[in-house]
Amino acid sequence: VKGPLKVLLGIVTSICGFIEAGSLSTSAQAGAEFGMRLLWAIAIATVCLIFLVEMSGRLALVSKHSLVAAVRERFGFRFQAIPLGAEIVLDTLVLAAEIGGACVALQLVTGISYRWLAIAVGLLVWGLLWRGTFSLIENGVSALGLVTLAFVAATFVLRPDWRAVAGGLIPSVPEASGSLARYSFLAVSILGATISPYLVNFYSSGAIEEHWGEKDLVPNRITAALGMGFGAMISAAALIVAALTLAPRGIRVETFHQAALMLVPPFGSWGVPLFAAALFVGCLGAALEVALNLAYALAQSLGWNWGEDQKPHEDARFSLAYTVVILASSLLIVAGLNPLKLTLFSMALTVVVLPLVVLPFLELMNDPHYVGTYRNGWIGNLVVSVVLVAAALLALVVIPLEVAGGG
Amino acid sequence: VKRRNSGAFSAAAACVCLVASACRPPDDKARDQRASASSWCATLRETVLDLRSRRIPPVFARDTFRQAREELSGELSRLHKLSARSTTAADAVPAVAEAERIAGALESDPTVDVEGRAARLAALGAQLSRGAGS
Repeated sequence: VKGPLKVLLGIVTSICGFIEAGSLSTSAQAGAEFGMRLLWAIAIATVCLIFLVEMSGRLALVSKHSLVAAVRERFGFRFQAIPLGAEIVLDTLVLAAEIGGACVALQLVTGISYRWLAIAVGLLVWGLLWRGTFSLIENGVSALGLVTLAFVAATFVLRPDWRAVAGGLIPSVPEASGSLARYSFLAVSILGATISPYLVNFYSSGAIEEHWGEKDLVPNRITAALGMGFGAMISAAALIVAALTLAPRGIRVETFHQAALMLVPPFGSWGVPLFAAALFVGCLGAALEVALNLAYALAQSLGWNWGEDQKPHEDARFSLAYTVVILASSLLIVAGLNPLKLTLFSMALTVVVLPLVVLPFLELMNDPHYVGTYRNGWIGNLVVSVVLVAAALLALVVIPLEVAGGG
Repeated sequence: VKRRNSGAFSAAAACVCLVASACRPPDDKARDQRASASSWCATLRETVLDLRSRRIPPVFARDTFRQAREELSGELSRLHKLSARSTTAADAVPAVAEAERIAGALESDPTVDVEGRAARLAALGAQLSRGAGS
């Protein structure tokens, strides 16, 4: 990161790359079913994410290790195998959800079934990774994410009651007792959609790819706080728009077709195409990051050569790793898995495995061997540990209830 | 030992939850099906009205009608299964069956009697959501 322009670019990239299948679908469902009442989940998850992203950048720029490489070195491969296994399963599911989301976005405007489009979208993701560079992935595709600001614009067009919006930031129990399990499940899914493990490792690997140094400590802090903070505002805007347009009409979000109706009241005939564009770009950007992250995690755990800026023949096993996972995820969509349901469950499962990834990370962030004098403060340690452990316990309770409910 | 204990605790918690959720009363399940069917009635109503005022692409509307018919058909079969044990489910069957027929008709021709169909869908949605509240 060099100069204010680079910092600004990093912030814009973080904001525009924030929305993807998980954050959009969980926000839309929460708004449609519970109005503004789940805004607090986005707020808490965002605070936690800002801490984690700042920490992963700090770890990379002080120790010159990515998160996965540092965990492997500090705890050994036998320990690293547990979070690595969890990450492989989760990233494959999340990648399938993102590829599925991009396919559904195309289906919204073409009518062609998402299952037929999965291989084409998978090839597009693979081609961009095979031919592209890290800055193309990070800046180029994310810049297209400006279209996701449509949700923020829609919020202002719809003129919400700002007192109700502020009220949603305070946790509250829904009136109908039967909906408590669903409310908790959506809260957990929002946490999982916002605090994705792939994002944390991707950020630290990106810092290594871009050769960050200790001089970048302040820009890292600014990028994490403003980029993630304003990015979360787009998720919150999607929730508010769904609360104002879908909830009063009695529409719940069980498919992306229902979610797409949320932009019709503010934008008329532009509504569905705008929603489709936001969903496609968001999912494409996230699919690129998830596929890369899985290759990063495998390469850093197993000691392979890695780097998106290298030619595929220079890091053949790294390139093979993302090729295989993109193919596997595309086939899951071809097989007919419902992208929205897959998204919700992978987001909720994310919360269950988050402590496996994050608790060793916290240990590293308090180890002077890795971060020298730039160790965590007690506030960061406390916020991240309490939120993640509480969310994981809640997830263990609500996921079986949602499965049995037919979710 | 601490790690083994926490793993055993997690597994036990998951088992308890699975057993508890498997014992969910049929009326609770029926309420979920009614809420979903009511939501699809509202989706159909909005889609047909938006299509008439050219606020959504025809290809999107057709796809939504097809999806609604398939989802309502699924809800109908689940309600049929529950109806022997739940009056909440049995009461919903005629309304969901009618909504499914309307979805099929909209798929064939969305331009016929738009006002009448929209009004009927609103009535069916309201009827289903009354029984969906807990």
